[in-house]
Amino acid sequence: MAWHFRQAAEAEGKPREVESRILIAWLIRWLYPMKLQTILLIVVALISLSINVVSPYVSKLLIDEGIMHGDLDAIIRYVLILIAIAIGGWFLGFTRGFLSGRINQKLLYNMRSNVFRHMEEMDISHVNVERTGKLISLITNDISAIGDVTTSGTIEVMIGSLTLVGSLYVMFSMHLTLSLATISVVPLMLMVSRYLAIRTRKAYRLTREKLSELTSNVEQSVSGSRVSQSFAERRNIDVASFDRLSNETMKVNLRARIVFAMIQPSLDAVRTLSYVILIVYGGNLVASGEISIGVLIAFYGYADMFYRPIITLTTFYSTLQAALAATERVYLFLKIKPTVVEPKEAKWVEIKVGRIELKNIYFDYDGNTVFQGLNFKVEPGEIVAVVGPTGAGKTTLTNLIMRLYDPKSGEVLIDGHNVKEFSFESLRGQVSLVPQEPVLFNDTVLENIRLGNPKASDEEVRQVVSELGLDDLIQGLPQKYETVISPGGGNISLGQRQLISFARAMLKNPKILILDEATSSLDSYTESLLQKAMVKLMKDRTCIIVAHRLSTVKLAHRIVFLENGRIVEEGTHEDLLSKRGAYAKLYELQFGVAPEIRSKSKNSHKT
Amino acid sequence: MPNNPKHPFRRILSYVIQEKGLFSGVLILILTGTLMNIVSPIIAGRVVDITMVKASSDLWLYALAIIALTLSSGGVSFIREYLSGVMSQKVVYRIRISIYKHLQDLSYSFYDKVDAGQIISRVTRDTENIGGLLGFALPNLLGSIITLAIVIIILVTTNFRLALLALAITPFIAIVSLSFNRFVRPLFEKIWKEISGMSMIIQETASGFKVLKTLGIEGEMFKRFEQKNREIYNMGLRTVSLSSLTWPSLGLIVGIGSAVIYWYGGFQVVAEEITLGQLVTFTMYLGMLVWPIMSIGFVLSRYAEAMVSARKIFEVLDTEPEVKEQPGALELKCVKGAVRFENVTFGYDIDKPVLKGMSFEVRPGEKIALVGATGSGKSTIIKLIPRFYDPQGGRILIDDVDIRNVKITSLRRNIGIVHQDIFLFPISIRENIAYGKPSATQEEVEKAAKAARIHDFIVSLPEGYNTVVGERGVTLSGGQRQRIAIARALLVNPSILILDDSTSSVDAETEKEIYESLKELIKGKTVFIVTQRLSTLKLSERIIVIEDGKVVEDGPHEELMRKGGVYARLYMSQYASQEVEN
Repeated sequence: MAWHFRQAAEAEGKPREVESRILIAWLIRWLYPMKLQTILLIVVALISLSINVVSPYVSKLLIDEGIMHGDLDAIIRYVLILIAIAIGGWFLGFTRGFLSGRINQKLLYNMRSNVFRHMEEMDISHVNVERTGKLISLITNDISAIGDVTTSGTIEVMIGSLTLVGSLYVMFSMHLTLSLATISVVPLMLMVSRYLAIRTRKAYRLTREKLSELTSNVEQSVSGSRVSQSFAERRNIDVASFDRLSNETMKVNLRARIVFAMIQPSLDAVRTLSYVILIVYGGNLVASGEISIGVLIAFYGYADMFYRPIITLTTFYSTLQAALAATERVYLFLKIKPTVVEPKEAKWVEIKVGRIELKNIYFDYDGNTVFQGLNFKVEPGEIVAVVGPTGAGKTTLTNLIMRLYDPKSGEVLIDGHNVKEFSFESLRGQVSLVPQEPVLFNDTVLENIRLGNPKASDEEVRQVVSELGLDDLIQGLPQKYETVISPGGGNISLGQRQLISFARAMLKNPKILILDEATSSLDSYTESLLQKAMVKLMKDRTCIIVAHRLSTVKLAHRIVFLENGRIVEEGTHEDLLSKRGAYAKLYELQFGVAPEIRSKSKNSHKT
Repeated sequence: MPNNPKHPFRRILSYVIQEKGLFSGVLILILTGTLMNIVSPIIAGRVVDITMVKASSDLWLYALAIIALTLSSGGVSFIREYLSGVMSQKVVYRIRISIYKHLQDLSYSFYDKVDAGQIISRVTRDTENIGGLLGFALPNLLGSIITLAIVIIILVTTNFRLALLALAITPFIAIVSLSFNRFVRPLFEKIWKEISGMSMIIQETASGFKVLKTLGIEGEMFKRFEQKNREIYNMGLRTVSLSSLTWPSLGLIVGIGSAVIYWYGGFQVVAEEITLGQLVTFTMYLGMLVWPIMSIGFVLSRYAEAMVSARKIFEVLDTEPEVKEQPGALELKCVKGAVRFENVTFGYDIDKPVLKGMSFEVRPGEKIALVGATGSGKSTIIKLIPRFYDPQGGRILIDDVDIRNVKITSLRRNIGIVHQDIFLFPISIRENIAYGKPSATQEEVEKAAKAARIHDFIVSLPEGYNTVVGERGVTLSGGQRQRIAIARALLVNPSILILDDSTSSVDAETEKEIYESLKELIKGKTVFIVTQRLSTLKLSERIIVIEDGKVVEDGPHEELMRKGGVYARLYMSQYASQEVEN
């Protein structure tokens, strides 16, 4: 799963199109189902915040009233309070982590479900092999990146900021000018932290970009290893370019390292400044007896409280940016609306006879005109072969009947009902389409066939297989029905996949069968199995076959020759051959050896 | 695969040792940095005591000391971080290059067995893990150990009883740290596994989207997805309950620990056994004990992770290429193109021979078609010619030289091959065609493209030859891809051209045109064509029929037809329907 790594590396990047405000508002809406938990979390967070703020003050009391006065009872009293605070803090901390984690997990869960559901509802033009990597990254990486920030992150930051306010209050109530002196470094700290945040983000992005480049370089050379090994000159070129790239990666990483290495010392330096102020000014105050030593020690504690949320904010900033970038991708994806949608009052329309009619169809694809007023009709029980050059619109025709696309204008009718009236279930439950490239899922052969009709029993599956004459094929597989198809289906041959895909279509017992024949050539044994199965599959059904094989064409009652989205010829095989038109020419080309064979094979019979 | 008995860590150290200077520099900086950190609680304690005796004039001195200390320790930490970064990045770089070079040398049999994603993560993620170990985790570990040791010594020597109280918390911190690594980390790994299972469902859904829709199995797929989703959720919850215990527990331990120290130390202060400043120093040291103990736990798990990565990396590096160049191999000059198989036996799996004593001879310039049922071994034959695999028995000669005695690059330079599964790189079409000869001129590229009957299509694209193929560019049909691959093979102008079922997705008309235009280009070259389409066979002068790993028939089309053997039967069966009609 090579794409995965590259996608992961690409997660960060590019400026955003949607404003942060909108994205955050959108994210908050995802918290609605967890309203109560969220409110509870905020309450818990507020309580633990006040405890945080109180504890340095208790230390102050301990020192001033206990230790400095030599009051042993007071020492024990405040120590017990400190222990109570620690236990309370533990409990609250745990509750906080637990709640925010739960909310987080639930949100991730809901979002993944939603995105997957949405993906299933998309038009087929939106989802394809090319986009697989992006889709996976969307559901795995992006959503995970969002999760942390929306709950724990946001609430941490919130608490951090409130802690600031709380400690300010306590500090000011203890001593005004010392407080002012302590917080005088805050602007500097904010500036430094903001600067570092920006530098970090830039550095981080650069390293991600380089890593992504490096990853796709490796991906290319691994997936293309067979090709590159076939070309002798490639090795040196490839090694050199990889060397250059890893060198660059190293340099970018080191540059980022400089920024990262700067963070701790710079923030420490600023913090020290506030300590120095405390020591010199505060120490003098203590020395002159204006404040107690306890106050000074408490101020240390509060200065620390200032320091921590600011650091959190610094690191949070880049996480937040990455999360918002991820949010935007999910947001934009969910905004894409499918155009082919089920009618509002979707109903089960029974296909009784299986008459298909396409009336005056106009259809564009990717800006290219495919059909301009196509009319096409198939009678119940008729077998029609559609032939023609690549790009003539053969597959599009079948896609329109299955309502994978809607025509720009014109109507697709089945038994006189517009396909738009059908519920998806009724249309696709009664019409079977066997695609050109058979697709099997990573599951057993049995389950793969059963996908044609999830309600079918094992027995029914076996029966269909027998009817199609495929028992031998299944018996020939390593674990028979239980053979697990490897991802991508590589462990069985194309022909076998095709046959399983036939069984799947048959299991549906469709009124109408649409078959897009595979172009790739098969060996003659599989070919003959396929041929026999096809004949059985087509029996008593209305069939449209996008045909590439002569043998298939001959099974058809009628042949339709499609070119540039128009029907240019129509009739039986013999009719069309005698016409000497486009079909005859194609036939000649494809089976150009035919006349010769005839004579030769006769010869061979004689010898 | 020879087993290298050395522990992976020692092998990584051998890379580190190449950076001796950097390595010792980092060590020294860790030591000085740690010492500097340890001084600051002492200063803080002194400050408290000074303010108590109201000798405020000395405060400036301490303030200056603190500033100096912060700046210098900041400087040290900066340099240390940077140098350890340089060291680890250099090691990462070196490991990467050696894996990459090794990957280039590994044979087909290696790529047959492994998953591309796995190899990619060897070069990226696994090397980064090692980089993380060297650049962050190990320096951290050393720093932690030194800090712990020194802090404990200081505590124990200054105030033994108070020290015992302070140290009483360390086992608890260790327990928290260990249990986090023990219970929470494995959960993360499980979640990661489930996520890749989920990715596969998404991938299947996306790549089989049309089938999904036409079968109407959206609900079925969603159910599968939800199952994974729910498992991830449940495991996430478990992680949450465990990990949300970790931090608060640490807070609790430190909180109680310092309260107890205040209590006992407070009594000591009252009894004037110690000063308040010393008490403050003590509580600060208590805080300094937490991180090192925690980080030792983290480092250990990072170490384990990095070792898993290292093992995987070395596994690749220790894999010997099956096809190896002989020492003193000769340079194969421009060949005439005679190919001879002498009793060649070969199986991808040694127990399941595919070729069982294959012998045939091809004269320079001959056009050969290899015919046979699926699994008969015809594709295997042509993979042996460029030495993608080596036969287990017999030998293969080109121009009467055993191909095992020549340099692999010089052998492959003479052979152009179009594979059955076409792979194009996600680069421009031009670069794809010129892949084997990046220095090719535009004329050469166009000439090859014209011969492969793809030029017109390419120029019809808005960006012409600069159009990028794949995810970020155009999606090409199977036939277009095949034609580009043919152009790619033609461009290097090989003496031997191999077309492995290379026009299966091209429509009949174009296929005919391709062969027409090839005629001129392949004059004098030896050509092997593996095909299922009989119309293609007419172009070859001689047909070799393979059955069950052996040559069963060999001769021109007419001769074999007359013979009425395997070939004739095969031929007839494909035209069976036609026969019926006539």
